[in-house]
Amino acid sequence: MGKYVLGRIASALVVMLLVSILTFLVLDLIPGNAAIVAVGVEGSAETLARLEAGLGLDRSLPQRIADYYRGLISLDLGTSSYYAQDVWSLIKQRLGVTIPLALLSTAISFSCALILGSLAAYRRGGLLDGICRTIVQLAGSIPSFWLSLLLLILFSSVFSVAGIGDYVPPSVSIRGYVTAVFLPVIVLAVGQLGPMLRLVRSSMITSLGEDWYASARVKGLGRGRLIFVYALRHAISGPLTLCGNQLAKLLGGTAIVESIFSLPGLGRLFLTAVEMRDLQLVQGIVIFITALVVLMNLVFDILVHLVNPAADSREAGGA
Amino acid sequence: MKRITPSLAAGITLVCIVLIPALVSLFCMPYDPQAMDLHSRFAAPSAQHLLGCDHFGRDLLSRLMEASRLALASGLFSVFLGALGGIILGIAAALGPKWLETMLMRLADALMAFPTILTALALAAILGRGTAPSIIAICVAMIPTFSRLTYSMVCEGRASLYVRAARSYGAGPLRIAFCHLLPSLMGRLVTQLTSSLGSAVLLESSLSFLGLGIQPPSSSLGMMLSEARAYVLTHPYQALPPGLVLLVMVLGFNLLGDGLNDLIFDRRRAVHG
Amino acid sequence: MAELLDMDRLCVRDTRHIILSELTMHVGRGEKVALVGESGCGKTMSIRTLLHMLPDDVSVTSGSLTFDGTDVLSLRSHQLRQELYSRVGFVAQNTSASLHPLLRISTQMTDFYLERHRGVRRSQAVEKAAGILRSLGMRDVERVLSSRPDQLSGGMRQRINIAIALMDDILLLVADEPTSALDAHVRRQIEEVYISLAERSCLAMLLVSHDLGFVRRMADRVYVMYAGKMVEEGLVDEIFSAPVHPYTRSLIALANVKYKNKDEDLAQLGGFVPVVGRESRSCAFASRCRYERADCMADVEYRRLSDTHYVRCWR
Repeated sequence: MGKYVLGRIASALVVMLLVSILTFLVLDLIPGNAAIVAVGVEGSAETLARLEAGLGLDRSLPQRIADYYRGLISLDLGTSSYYAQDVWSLIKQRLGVTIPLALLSTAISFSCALILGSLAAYRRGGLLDGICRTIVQLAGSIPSFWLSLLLLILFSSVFSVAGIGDYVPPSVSIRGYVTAVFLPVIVLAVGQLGPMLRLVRSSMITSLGEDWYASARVKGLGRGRLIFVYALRHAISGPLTLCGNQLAKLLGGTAIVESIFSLPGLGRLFLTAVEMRDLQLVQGIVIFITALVVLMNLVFDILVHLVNPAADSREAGGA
Repeated sequence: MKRITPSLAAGITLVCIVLIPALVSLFCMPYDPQAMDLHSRFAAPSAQHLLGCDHFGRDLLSRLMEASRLALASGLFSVFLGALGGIILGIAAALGPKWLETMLMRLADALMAFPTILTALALAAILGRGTAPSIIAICVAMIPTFSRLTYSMVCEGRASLYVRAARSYGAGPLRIAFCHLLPSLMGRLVTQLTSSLGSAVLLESSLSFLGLGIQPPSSSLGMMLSEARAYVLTHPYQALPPGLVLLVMVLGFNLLGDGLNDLIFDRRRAVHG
Repeated sequence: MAELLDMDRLCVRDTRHIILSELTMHVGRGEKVALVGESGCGKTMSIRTLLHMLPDDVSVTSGSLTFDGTDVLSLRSHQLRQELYSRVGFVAQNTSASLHPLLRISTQMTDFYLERHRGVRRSQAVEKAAGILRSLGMRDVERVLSSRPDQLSGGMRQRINIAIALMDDILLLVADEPTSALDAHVRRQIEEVYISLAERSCLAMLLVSHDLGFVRRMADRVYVMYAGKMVEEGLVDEIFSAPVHPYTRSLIALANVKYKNKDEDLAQLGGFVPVVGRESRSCAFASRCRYERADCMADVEYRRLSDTHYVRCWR
């Protein structure tokens, strides 16, 4: 166990190192550095030089790399040129919006997928199975921004909910928070449901065909326990890994939904950074999200290892 | 035994539904998709404008035809480029030296774990907005999938007998890759290409929804939806046709990919069993 | 005396072939019965029919199957637990795959018992499980109960499967190839477990096996199956000392059991069990039989040799 965790941490660090080098190189070596982008082509040589000095662009490459990593380690991701603010503090402000959004929608899609997928696999070829397969295809193909628009139309004209309120932190008004977050969470959950449901269904079908399943049935084990404890326990490691992956991806992948529903989250910050070509901010967010993705995958891998200690040896044999 | 599964049939039908109007738009369209007619702003579907008009009074059907052609073209182009890059990198990782293998595959892992839309957005931030940058961004986002697929298939294939036989009579690594491995991998690549087309179209429309992809006055599905968003409460109808076309397109490619997968998987099982 | 298990002219088929043709078999209370035959002749299908474990495309077309007064074939899936599974214990063929790989043995041994006996505490059930394991000659029971299957040896897993079947007060223990796929010394141990179980309990047993040495030590009566039909049945002594059907004779000779008939040089049995043509009333074994003659193609009846000994052959 300890050895496994250490190995996973080491490989996570390697990924972090690679991504940080890559982002550094891409942003540092592209023609037209961050200062030019920020100032614009029309900017005077003087402002440019001042900005270059401010960003440390006038120093030699090894020095810049050293600065960059010193910054990363001390969580100093630089200063945003658009907001004229520390990148790390900008990210911190936005996390409070995005993290609950990601957690809620992942929890909803994961639990829906577990229940629907298990039952669909149990009654394979039945009505529910057909519905699930349709959901898998539709949910995987529907563009999140179109679904958002459809839901907006539905809720405003059909249920005549007067507009979707502006974002209100839950500390101010729980009711306002729920109204603001309800639709985005649904959109995000639907977006994740497709692959998750498909995976749960197929691993459950494998489980239900195993000898131990037949034996447990003949022991006279109740149906609920049979499906949701025996079969699901065996089938869950794949979906759990996927769940971690999706959760991590959501922390940055909410950009579109956040912008449609005017939520001041991390994704929206990233969009603004992209639109304003604030490369320091883009770089900071990319590195931050990579770190989150890596961390999340690490946590879920260890979780899977706890649930199913035989999983990694088996996967290693299969790969 | 080749069998047309329901998903394959549905996929082919849906792809044709968008492909045929897109091809027709090359030769003729009911109206000029950029011609504005302020008298028919937000016109409802009628005999003159089959799908109605948008907020500038442009004919929706014509715009949709143009938009789906552009979506298909940019999707095809970026998937093709991405697949090419991915295949080359995958083969390089599988047959090249150990350090290259570790580096490329770790990198692919990292990119795979990273949200595709963010990769594309980050690239758009560097390259600027427009059609070409968005195609490059999508293409880069597609690379890891293909390099991983190619890598794992080459590794599987490398251990197989016929490759060992080829090596024993002195075939070089390139010859092995192109003459022996690639043909047997075509099936899975074609499947992946089809499914990737779906995600590429989706990605392109996301970028143009955010205003980073295809630029006006050309029409694109994402842009049309983003324009419709402004009128979503007053003219909700505007959001329906572009979204539906997009859904049909993506769903079509996904189903087609699944169907092809079933077909190839069936054939392989028949060979083994 | 009413039979415990009464299988009467049971026919089972899948979409293309007949699998069991008019299979008749009885197990009395406390009786130890063995079902013998090559792989593919329908032994496993017949017990799967009894346990409602048939694959989706396989169905019973005619015949009846009664267990302890219950019409098994008409049971609905929600009745199975109460009416059937609480009274029949089953030990599957592949015992290492028939335990859940991730759950502790103590859980797997007690959860169904706790479901069935409301009000019993888990500690009591675990105690009962430990007692059964000890009675099967298991040492170190506490450690075994808190382990997962991959931490145990094949012999231990086999014992656990038997113990699971014995948790309830069952009337019949069905074991599919209980000693196959085990290495020699483990097989010896498991044989002893079954034999001592047979000696000290009045549990009826239905053993499916092609291990004739084991069958001879265990069984009271033997059924010999070939291509979905019974070809011979009799008391264990009748079958082993005076087999009549050429198939039975070949099996016994092949198994290298002590019986050896001097004037018969039984060569190794060539060919395979036929898949098609099980519905015909002619002798399915004819094509592999050294005594084949024209009568074999006609209706070969199931002849009575004694009160207990029957054979489907003209010899």
